[in-house]
Amino acid sequence: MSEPNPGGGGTVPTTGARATIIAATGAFALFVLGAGYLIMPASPVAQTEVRATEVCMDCHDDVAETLAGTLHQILEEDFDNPEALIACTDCHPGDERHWDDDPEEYTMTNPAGTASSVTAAICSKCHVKPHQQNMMEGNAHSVNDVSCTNCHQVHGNSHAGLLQDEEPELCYQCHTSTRGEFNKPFRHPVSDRIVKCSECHMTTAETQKNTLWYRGVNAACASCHPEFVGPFPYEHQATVDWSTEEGGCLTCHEAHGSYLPRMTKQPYEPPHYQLCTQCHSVPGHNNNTYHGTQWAGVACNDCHVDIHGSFTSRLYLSTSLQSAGCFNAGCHQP
Amino acid sequence: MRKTIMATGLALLLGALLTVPVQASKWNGVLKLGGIYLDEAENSDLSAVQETYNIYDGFNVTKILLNGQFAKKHFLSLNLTEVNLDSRKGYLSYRLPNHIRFSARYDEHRQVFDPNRQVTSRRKDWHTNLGVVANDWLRFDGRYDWQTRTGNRLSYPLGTDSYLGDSYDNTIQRGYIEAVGQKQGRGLAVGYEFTDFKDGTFETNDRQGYVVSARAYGNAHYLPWWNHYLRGALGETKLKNGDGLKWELSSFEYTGMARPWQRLGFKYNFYSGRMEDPGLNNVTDNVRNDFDVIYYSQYGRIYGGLGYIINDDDRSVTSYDVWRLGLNGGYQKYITVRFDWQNRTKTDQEKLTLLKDLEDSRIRLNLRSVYKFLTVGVGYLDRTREFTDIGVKSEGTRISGFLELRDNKWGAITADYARMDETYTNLYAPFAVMSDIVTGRVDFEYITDLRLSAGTSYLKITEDLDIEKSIIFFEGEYFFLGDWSVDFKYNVYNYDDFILQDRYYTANVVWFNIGYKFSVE
Repeated sequence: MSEPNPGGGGTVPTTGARATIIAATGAFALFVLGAGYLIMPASPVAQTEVRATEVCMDCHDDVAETLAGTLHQILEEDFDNPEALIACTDCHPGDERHWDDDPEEYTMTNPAGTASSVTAAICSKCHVKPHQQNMMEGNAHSVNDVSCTNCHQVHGNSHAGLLQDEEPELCYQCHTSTRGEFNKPFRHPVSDRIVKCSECHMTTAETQKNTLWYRGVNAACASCHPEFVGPFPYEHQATVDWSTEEGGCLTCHEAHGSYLPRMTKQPYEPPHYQLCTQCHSVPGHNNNTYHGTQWAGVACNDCHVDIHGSFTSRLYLSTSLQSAGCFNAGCHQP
Repeated sequence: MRKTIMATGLALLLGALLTVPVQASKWNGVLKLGGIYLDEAENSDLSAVQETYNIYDGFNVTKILLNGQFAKKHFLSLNLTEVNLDSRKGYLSYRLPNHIRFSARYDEHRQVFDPNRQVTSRRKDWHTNLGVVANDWLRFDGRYDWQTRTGNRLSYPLGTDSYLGDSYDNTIQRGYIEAVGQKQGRGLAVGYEFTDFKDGTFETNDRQGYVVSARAYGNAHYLPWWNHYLRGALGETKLKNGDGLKWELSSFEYTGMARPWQRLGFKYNFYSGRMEDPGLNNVTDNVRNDFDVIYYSQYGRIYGGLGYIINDDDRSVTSYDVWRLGLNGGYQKYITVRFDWQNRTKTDQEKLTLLKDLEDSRIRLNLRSVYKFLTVGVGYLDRTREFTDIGVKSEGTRISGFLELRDNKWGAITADYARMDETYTNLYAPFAVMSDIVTGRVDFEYITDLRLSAGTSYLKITEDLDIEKSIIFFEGEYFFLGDWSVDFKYNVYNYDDFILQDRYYTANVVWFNIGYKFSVE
C-alpha cells in the first residue's frame, strides 16, 4: 500500500491505493449520509408551517399580478389547492393568527427583511442548485450577510434570473471599485455587457470548483480559454492551480483588467521580464555556463513560446530551435 | 450533441405553445431603429480602446423586444439588439409557471489585435438553460453552451511558431444536467457535466472532459440547527488525440454548519481531492480542514477561523496555515461596516519546490452610510504576498470612495474614485504603478417623459507607466405621443500611452434611435 517517497519524505501510498482510499471514503460517506437524509423524517419545525394562498388574496390580490410570467406565479386554479407546488406561505411563513386575529401583531415573514441565513433557508426549500448550496456553505456573500434578496427580487421583476438589475450594474452597486478595474486598457469585456460577472464567478466556478476544487480558478478561465489549460505532455507548473508551486492562471494574469498587454500582472518585456522572474529569480541565461551571455536581452518568450504548456518540449521551446541544434541529445530535449 | 440539445429545447417550447389557443394571447413589445456614426481620428491605434471594438458605423435595427402571454400561463419573451450588425445579441425565454423554464442567449463580438484593425477574431456564444419541475420532490436543471472563435491573431512574439499559431478556428461545447430530489429541506442531487474543445487549426490540441458529481444536504433529525452539505465528484479531462494523456480528478467535501444558540454558530469544512497528471508525472493530493466560529448580535456578526491545508504531490509536500477574522454589521440602515483580515503562510516542508515558503495577508475595510437621499462609502484594501526564500514581494493598496445623491423628483448624481498603488520587487528589478480611476454620472429626471444623463470615466496610470484614458458621454431619451420615443448617445473616447506602446486613440461616436411601443391583445 505504500512506497518510498522520491522526494525523501518517508513513504507515500501508491497511486492506486490512495485513489481507492479517497474514492471509498467519499462514496461510503455520500451513500450513508445522503441516503439517510432522504429516509429520515424531516425536523418537527418544518412540519408545523401552515400553507395558504387563497386567504392571502382577500387582502393582497394585487400582489399576485407582480408574479405574472415568473416561475413563482401562483395560478388561479392552485389558490385553494393544498398540493400546489407553490403557495404564498412557502416564501412568507407564519401562522393563521395573521388572518384570523391581528395581521399587525402577527406578521408573516418577509424574506427581504430577515438575516441572510433565514432568507437562504426560505429560498432553498425549492432552490437547491449548486449556487444555493454554495451560498449556504458560506461563500463571501453569505459571510457578509448578503442574502438572496440583495441580488434577487421576486415581485414585479422581469429581469432574467429575477435579478434586481442586469449585470454588471447590479454587481457594481456594491463592488464599486471593480467598475474601475474594467476601465483598464486590457480587460475582459464586462462593462460592454459581452462577458457577465456570473460567467466566471458563478456558473462554472460553482458547478466545478466546489465539486473538483483542484480545477480551481483555472476551471473558470478554461470555460472560454481551454487552449491554454492542460493536459499537456509537458506542463508548466506555473499554470496548474493544484501544483505545490502555487500555480494557476492568476499567477501571471489579472482577472478583471490590467495595465499590461495580455492582462499580465508584471511586464513580459525587456529588460527585466518581471513576469518570468517572479519565479525564475535566480539569474539564468544572463550568466549560465552553457550560453554565456549570448541570450542576454533576448525576450524569454522568443524561445520559450509555449509557456502555457507544450506538446514538444519540456522547456516549452519553439520547434524552430530544432534546426539550431538546441534539441540535440544532452541539451534541451527530451 | 449541440443540435440535439437545442432541438430538444425548441421542441419542448413549440410543443407547449402548440397546445395553446391562439386567441387567448397577449403581446407587447418595443421596436427601435436608428443609426451609429463613428468618427476615429487619423493615425489612431484602432486596437487601443476595447470599448470601440464592437461599434459599427451605419443603420441599426437597435432593438426588437417582444413579450407574449398565452392562455394566462405561457410566457414568451424575445429580446434582440443590434440585429443587423456584427455586435448583435439575443435573448429568448419561455416559462410555464411551476413547470418549465427555458432560456437561450446569444451574443457575438470582435477582438482587435493590430493598430489598423486588420487582424481580428470573432467570438459567438450561445447559452441555453432548461429547468423542468417534475413534481414537488423532483426537478431537473440543464445547461448547454456553445462557443466558436474564428479569425486571426498575432503570433506572440511576432514570427514565433507556438502551437497557438496566428489564427482561430475553435469550438467549445459545455453541457450540464442535474437531477435533484428533495423533500422537506433535505435533498440529493446527481449531475453530469461535459466539455468539448475542438481546435480546427491544430487538432492535437482538441480536448474533452466530464465530471460526474453528487450533492446531498439537509439538517440533522434530532439537531435541526445542524446542517450538513456533502459533495463528491469524479472526472477527467483528456487530449482527444494525445495517446490517452489525461487528468484524472476526484474529490469529496463535507461542510457542517451549526447554530446551537442564537448568538453562536460554527462552521467546519473538510475537503479531500486528488489530481493525477502525467504531464507533471505526479499525483497531487489536497486535504483541507477549515473551522470558523461566528458570533451574532443585533448589530451584525463577528467571525474568526483557521484552516490547515496540505498539498502532497509525491515530490514535495507543502502545508498552509490560514487565520482569518472579520466582522460585518451596522446600525439600522444608516451605517454598514465590513472588515476582514486573512493571513496565510505556506511551508515547503522539504524545500523542494522552486518558490519555497510564502507569506501573504490581506486586510479590507468598507464603510457605507445612508442618510435620506445621500449614500457615501469608503473602502480600504491592503495586501502583501512574499516568497521569502527567493526575494519576491508584491504589495498593493487600494483606497476607494463613492457618493450617491438620489432624489425621486430630480434624478441622481453618482461618483466613485479609486486609487491603487501596486509595487512589485524581485532580485532583478521592481515594477510599480499608481492608478487613479474616477467614474461619475448625473441623471436628470425632473421633466416628465424626458431623461438626460451625462458622465465620464477617467483613468490615469503613473510611475513605471504613463497612460491616460477617458470616456465622456451624454445621453437622452424623450417619450412622446404615448407610444413613441427618441433617444441619442454621444461618446468621446481618448487614450494616450506615452511609454509602454507609445500610441494614442481619439474617437467620437453618436447613436440615435426612434422607438415605438406596441401591444396587441
